[in-house]
Amino acid sequence: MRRVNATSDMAADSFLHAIVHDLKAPLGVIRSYSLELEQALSEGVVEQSDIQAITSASEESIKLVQDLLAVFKLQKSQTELPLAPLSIDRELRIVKDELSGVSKNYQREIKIRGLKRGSTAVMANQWYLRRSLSNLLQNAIKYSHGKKPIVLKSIQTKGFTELQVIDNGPELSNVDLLSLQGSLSGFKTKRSAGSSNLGLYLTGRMVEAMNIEVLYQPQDKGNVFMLRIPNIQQLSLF
Amino acid sequence: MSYILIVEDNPSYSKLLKRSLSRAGTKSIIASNGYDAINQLDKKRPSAIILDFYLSPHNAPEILNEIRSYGDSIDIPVYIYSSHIDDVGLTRQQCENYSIKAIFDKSKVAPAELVDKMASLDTP
Repeated sequence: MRRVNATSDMAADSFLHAIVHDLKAPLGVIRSYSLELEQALSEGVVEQSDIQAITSASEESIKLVQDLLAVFKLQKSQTELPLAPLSIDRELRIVKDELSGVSKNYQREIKIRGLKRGSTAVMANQWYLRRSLSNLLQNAIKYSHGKKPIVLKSIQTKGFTELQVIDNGPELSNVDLLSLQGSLSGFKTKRSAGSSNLGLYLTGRMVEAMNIEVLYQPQDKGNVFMLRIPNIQQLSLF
Repeated sequence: MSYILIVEDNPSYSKLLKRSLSRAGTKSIIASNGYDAINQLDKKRPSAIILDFYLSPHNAPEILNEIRSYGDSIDIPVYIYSSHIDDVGLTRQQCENYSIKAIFDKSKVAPAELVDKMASLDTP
């Protein structure tokens, strides 16, 4: 019994550690650029991109806090998450646009592929779907290598829309995958490199709440994350 | 200091580091991961390296091991610049082996401040 408690305490510590890690990075950027702006203001020359860096890092911090609160609420709540028909084409474009600042900053292009004329409607929660995709794409932007674009792909299978996020990042380890599956054991007490796995954990919990299946497949140079969402029907929304 | 290699995967930081160094009259080049860093080292030997700790796919000690395998790069001073210095956990011996001159916390030391601190450490 004592050993189980010790293990779960360690996992909780590692989880908190990951939160601190992912919050400290954008907060450090905000502080650094604020100091830069102070100096620039005294010299009378302010760069627009410096203000954008502060805005972008602030938004990143706020979204992380919102995601964490949402996932904590989901875990406490016994009620079903409200789902609604969504146009998948529209959602993909909005998520891509929302990340335009981050992708520009990291000089990584996001390409949407597989959209067909006439939108496919799926049953999902708009906010959770956007945040899930956004977390996967942000990880892809931050940890991909080379110049190849990150691909956001929509594929129609029997009764499902499969959304794929294809990146060029390092392959996930089995421990990393635990985070996507919702286990706090996926948070390492001592990280070696790359992501804290918090984005994966949050994505996993959000899609789980929508009864969306999440799959992962490493490929030659990169990874494919797949979200399988049940279609409502084929209809033209626009 | 005449030429600094910045190894940093967060463009917000690398941009400010480059600007702060330039303001201090120092040239610099940015590498966003270990592979880029080794490529840059092959082209030109820097007078110092500013190195983020948690890079992907290789972290700072892995990159430093690779750098140290190049005989003529052994004595290049390294400044670790990380948001998570509590996790860095390098021993004094490791710091000596890797020629790490100092470790700075990004959340407390902004790039402009880092450049000032490096200059003061460099002054005999």
